Amino acid sequence: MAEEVRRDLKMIGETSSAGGKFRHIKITGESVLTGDVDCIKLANTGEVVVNGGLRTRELKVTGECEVKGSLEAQIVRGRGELKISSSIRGENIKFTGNIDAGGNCEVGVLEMDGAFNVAGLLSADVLELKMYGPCRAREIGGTKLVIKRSKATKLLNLVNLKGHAHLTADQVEGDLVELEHTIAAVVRGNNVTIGPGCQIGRVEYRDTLNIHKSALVKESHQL
Amino acid sequence: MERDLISKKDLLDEKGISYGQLYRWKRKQLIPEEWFIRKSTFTGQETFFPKDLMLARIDKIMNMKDDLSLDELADKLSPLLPDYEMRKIDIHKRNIVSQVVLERFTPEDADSVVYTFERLLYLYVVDKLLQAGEMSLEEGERLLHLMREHFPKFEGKPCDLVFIRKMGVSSFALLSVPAEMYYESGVKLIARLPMAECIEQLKGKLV
Repeated sequence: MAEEVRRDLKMIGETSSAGGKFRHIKITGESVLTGDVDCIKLANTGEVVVNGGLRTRELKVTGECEVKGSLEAQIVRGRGELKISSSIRGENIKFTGNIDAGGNCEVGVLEMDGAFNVAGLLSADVLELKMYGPCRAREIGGTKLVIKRSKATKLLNLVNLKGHAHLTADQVEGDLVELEHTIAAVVRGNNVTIGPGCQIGRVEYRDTLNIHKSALVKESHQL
Repeated sequence: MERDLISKKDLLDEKGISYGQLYRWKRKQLIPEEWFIRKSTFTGQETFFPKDLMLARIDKIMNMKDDLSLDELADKLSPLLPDYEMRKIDIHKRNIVSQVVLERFTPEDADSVVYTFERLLYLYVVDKLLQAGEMSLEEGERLLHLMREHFPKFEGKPCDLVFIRKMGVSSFALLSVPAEMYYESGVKLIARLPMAECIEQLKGKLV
């Protein structure tokens, strides 16, 4: 293959571009990329819509980023809103705000402050979530899953924005699972901690199980 | 053809792997998405896997994961055709396809002719069925023709090769999976080869 030339793209203001292959993309303002985008780094301040898939090594978002395809990114950083119509695949995501995925979301390390809505499977080797709002995923799976409610929600609830911060999932499976304020049908794991405010249909565990006194667990079963 | 299924829990117990490993391997695409079969049971939705495929795959991953990184493993297991080429003489030398097949089906090519992975795959499949003693050389010719004409149309999507015979008359077909097929009486299913498996085997031979 011939040596590909990747150029930088910088856009400020209300702009649009056809997409394609780039080195660094820097967008400030409101922009639309009308096709698939493949780049090394995309930094966005403001609002960006990609009408296609987005593939990048690094994605930095301050504001809103909407992808009408799938997102593949090694590193994701930022705050704001990430709306992906299809699936997300990444290595390291640290995000404050809201993540929406229409498919699966598979990540190596996912550290989130905020809320998410994943239509399919949310899987991560390490998932650390501080909930600020309602979160939902069909299935959650991984090695170490720690899901907590942010302390700040007590304050936020006074002005009640969007309902309570809790997680709803059909299934949560991991080697180490720590949950708070979670409604799930089934939780499976080796070491499971069911924290305050949980409503769990069935817990299956191998080694240890701790249940907080305010949690509701219908049945638990050691394998 | 209903495949034997194994539940996720049984799989983890049998192979002694953790949830984390399973999800990590899925994320690294070592286990194809279409093997995750969701079925409802009395405890709600559960995940099942095609038993024989899954057990073989887990063994393979466990054996190789000490020597290769997960990403290298993924390349090896991916069903996409690699950009791999080989000269005819090397195919013979490394005994990837038998001499008989090379002589019969590629007599016009010189030893230095380079074969793409795709062409190599066709010859490999023909060779495999011939070696199993299930197919004649004439049938091999027709199979090769079918593969050349239709296999690229799947564009890397999983497909099976079906080889049937009735009253001595044989025919071949390629079909996308998962698919169920029912035959009239008198039809004998001689072979059904998942192409993804063939690709994997061939890759294993090349690397």
